[in-house]
Amino acid sequence: MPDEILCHILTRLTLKEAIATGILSKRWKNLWASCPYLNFGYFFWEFSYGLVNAKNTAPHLKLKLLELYRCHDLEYLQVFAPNLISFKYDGKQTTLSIKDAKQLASLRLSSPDYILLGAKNFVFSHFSSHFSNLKSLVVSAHLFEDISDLTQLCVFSNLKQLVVDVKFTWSTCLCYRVVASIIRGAPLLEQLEIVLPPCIPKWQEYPALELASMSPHQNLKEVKLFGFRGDENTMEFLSYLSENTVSLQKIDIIAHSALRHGEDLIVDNALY
Amino acid sequence: MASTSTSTLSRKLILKSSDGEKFEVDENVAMQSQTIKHMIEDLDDINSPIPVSIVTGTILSKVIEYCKKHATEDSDSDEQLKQWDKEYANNMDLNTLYYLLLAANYMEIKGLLELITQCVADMIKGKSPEEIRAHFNIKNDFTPQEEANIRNENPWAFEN
Repeated sequence: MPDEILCHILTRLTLKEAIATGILSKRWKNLWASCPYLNFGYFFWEFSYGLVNAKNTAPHLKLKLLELYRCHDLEYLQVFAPNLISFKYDGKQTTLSIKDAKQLASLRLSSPDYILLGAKNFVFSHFSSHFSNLKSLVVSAHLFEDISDLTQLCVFSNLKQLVVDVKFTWSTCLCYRVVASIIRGAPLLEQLEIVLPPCIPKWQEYPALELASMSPHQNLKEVKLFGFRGDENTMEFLSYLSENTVSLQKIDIIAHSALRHGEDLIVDNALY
Repeated sequence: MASTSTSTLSRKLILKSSDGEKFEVDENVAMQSQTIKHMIEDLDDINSPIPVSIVTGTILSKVIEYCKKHATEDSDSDEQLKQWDKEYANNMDLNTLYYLLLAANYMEIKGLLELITQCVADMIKGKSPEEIRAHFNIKNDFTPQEEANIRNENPWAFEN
């Protein structure tokens, strides 16, 4: 059966049903994403060098998925999409405004920027209004840099999955503080994944985490940690987790690091 | 003006299936297929059989049944026609639906394509991945790890 016909069928499903067909077999894996996308309200830009300012004022009622990857020239983006469910962004810390997306359930943010060009609190300033609706959050730790008080900001009442990538060694401590803070504000969290960078860090430069204790977490079941080195901060964080959760069933500790490439997490074969 | 007499005065065309079976149909029936419509435009002699090369006689007869019904739709109300469509699709087994879908796509019969794709979509709706695989005989060629990765990409899509 040609892909074209299968796409005809997929466009007659809801977005959720269509995405779920990705699990049927390899043939079906990316089929839904390759279909004529506006039927799904699916929008995808990659390497759009010309895209500098994008703004839509009339609501995109059909838009449910928005992905922006490496749109290097993008300075400003405002999207008015009341039915947006998923937003994925990889690029510089540009001014992003996702208006009125009350159903936004899945958020994935990463940025290659090492130097934060005055774009303080990238995650919070643009997305804090969506926190309480999110079910899944995938984020790079360094995007939380410059946040003076994490505790007051975090209410993730629906969050079930949290993934934090540590791209730069200096953001490792920040990562643990951010994660501890989000866990405290996310009573329904079930899955946590942390990906540490492959380079050998100078751990001694970092002070102890001294994470504030919390009332025992009731739902966190699975923790996965890539790039484990046995450093003091990580050990401190892991013991913090085991002391502050009653529901934990499994902690996977993987020495190999991993790299997130678009949708895929590629585990590094080499050990450093 | 001549609408009452179009069907009787309509020219006849001969469609020839991949396995050599010939079907004589009214032009207005055959013209529901965009592919055939374009072929006729290019054809000098409409009396010679028009090859429908990838469609077998069994399937072509079903396609013609659909086109005949929809060529004379003014006699039925929309409601009746919908009911007829529903019964037509429900009477097909999965194998027939598969070839009918290929035929509708190849022959570019929009209504039939919509009908069958909707019918297949309805079979997918409300089923678990395992049930869908079983129904359509799709072999799961993922490792458990790969399958878990896909679930993790869009976990909300797999919630009930």
